[in-house]
Amino acid sequence: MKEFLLLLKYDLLRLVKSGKNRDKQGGKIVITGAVLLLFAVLIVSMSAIYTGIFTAVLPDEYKHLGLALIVLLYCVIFLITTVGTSKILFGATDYDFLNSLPIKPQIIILSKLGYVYIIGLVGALLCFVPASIVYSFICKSGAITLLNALLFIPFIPLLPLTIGLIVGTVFHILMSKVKRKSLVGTILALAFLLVYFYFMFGLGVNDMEDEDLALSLTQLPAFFNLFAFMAKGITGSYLNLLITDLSLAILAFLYVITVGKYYNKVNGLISARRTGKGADLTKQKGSSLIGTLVKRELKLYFSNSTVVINSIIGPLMAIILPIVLLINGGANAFFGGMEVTEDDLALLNTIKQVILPYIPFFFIGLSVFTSFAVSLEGKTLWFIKSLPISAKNWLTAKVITCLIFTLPSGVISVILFGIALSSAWYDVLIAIAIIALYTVVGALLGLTVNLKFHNFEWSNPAEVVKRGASSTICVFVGMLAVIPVLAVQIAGSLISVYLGFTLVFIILLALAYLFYYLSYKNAEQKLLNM
Amino acid sequence: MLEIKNLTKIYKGGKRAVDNLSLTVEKGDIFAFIGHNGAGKSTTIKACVGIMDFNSGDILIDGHSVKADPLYCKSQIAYIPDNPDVYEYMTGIQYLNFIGDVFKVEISQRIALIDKYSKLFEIDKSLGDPISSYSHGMRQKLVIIGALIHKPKLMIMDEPFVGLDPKASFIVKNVMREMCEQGMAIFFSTHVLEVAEKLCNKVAIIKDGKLIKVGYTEEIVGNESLEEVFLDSAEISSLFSKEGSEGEE
Repeated sequence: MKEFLLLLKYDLLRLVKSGKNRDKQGGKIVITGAVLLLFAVLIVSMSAIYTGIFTAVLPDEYKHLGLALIVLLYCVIFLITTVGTSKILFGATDYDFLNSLPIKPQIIILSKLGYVYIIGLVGALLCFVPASIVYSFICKSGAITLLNALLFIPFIPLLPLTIGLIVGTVFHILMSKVKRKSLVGTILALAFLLVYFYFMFGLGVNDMEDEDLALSLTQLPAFFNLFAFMAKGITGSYLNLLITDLSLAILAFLYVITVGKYYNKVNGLISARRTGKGADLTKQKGSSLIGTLVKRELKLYFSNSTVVINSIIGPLMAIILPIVLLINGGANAFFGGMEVTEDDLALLNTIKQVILPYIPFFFIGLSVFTSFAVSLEGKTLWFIKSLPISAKNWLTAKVITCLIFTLPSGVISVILFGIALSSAWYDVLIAIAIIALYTVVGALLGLTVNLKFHNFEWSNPAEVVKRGASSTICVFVGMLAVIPVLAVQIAGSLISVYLGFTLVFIILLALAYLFYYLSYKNAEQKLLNM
Repeated sequence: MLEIKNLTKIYKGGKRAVDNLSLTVEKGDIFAFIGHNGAGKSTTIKACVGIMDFNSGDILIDGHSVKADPLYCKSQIAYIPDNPDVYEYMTGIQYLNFIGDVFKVEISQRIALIDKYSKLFEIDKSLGDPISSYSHGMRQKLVIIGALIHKPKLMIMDEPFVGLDPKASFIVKNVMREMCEQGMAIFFSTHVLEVAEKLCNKVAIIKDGKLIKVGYTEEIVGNESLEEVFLDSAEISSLFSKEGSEGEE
């Protein structure tokens, strides 16, 4: 027990220390403010969902969407915790150190799981408890709802933790059998992501007692039985919740005992090994400077599944959503087959025309590679500084790499949404121009922020990709950027929709220039001073 | 080839890491830079390479200022750090190709030199493996090969023999001699004074950021060994002789 607590304390202290480092680089006030604001937004939105403020504005047949959003938010926590669990157990940077100590592998695994669980629990407490309190207060459901919320909270990180253990272990055993471990690990993580999204947005309706919950959970047919059991706990069956919590905890302990025996073996297998095969020198080809820098960025990107998962979600969802919409019947599905008059139809067509470019904004804004690209140089920054590479070329390679992911996904997303919404071809072209420019703005914004708030002292890329000041700010801005842009569009559309598009285009162009100027000005000196 | 003029570097907090240091490395020189831990060797080297900014003075490489024309200067040098933290996600051959692309080395030259040096350092069979699987010594060898394939005019090394096995150290010394015979220059820091004494034609001793001795090795060493000269300048040997005489009393 003593060793378990000591290791747990060591992991939590490391998290705090990496946070302090971030603050040194990022400015305490800015970072604290951004994080608090993000949590405030989450808490308010959760409370709004719970109190029905959000659902009140929706037509009756869509009220369940409010509840579905809770599930969606949970699914995001699920995904992040699942991926985090698998990464923290295998191939961890402190593996050599910990295994050289007189501590059983089972204790090491338990302490790492405890660490992941505590992080998830704190997140759940911050998001769900205030929302539950507001809900119980406004709806006057009192102590029962609050108790329900309290029982629900330990469960929130437990399910993804358990699944992360199983999925992560299977993946790492598979990776240990192949040569290109990092690439295979990234592909497996992406495959898991796609399967996860498939089940999230899949087809199928199942009967349940609670119609609203049934409707919101229609997107999880493969996990229906399990979720039905858990859903009963969410809606008041405490026994179900307790049984679920206990079962998952027992499963996790059994895993710890079993895998603990083979922990060193699995870690040994996934360590990079030399094959002694050499390289075919006759097949070597040269590249231009920018080309070789971009290749380097792409290799770095795909070498780590944490980087991939955290930055590919946005572009992936931007493409998946319109495909789901198309499969579900396009514009008819989007507007629910409502009965509309001719005037309503004209308004609906205008709405479709106006929102087309901006639907992917949210998703593209979530995943900006440049927001951590500078920090990812880490302890190898000296190498770039020692080479005859101008800072401008160095930065441009990062922007190009970011655009390789966001630009095609943004354009494809807009085209697919255009087809789904039966938009005019010229409106699709305008939307492509706007989203293309937005991806450039996003890439340059990420670069500007990361040049200002960078951290090279990380031991795990997650510290800069998920918890870095720059990535936090950019995610936050990315989530909210669509609001002012849409406001400008709507203001312009009062006169003409195309005036709105023109205004937005000009603003985005100005922002692109501004961020380009801020990033590239005195770039050599900035690089030298890093 | 390398001219350091009145270099001064002051860290935050007022620590004067390098204080008004001047020295010159000519073509054909193998120049050893020695000093105690924290004397300012790595700071000087990093300033020369363009990794670190400095407060005053100037550094000229082949007549070009590191501050005014950093890209030209970096294209003329090769830097080998004390700790070869390079891209673990690349394979050895990918790393070497990256260097080749940055320095615009022709493919035929690249292939020939990679083949030559990888066999010499006996890592040719590991070039296809990820650098993350390399030992420290192998990484050091890979970085050295990367430095050699673009035929720099000046090689700047920070403790190049750390982590190398005796055979590799012997090869590196021979390569250094070969390079200097071809008109290149080498400037490196080391704690291995025997190597510095046998290999280098010039030596500089730095203490607490200041240059205390610089010149031809033979003139500085005289009738003593370089170790004795170094210890004298570090005022260590006198401590032992004092303790010895106190003990006798």
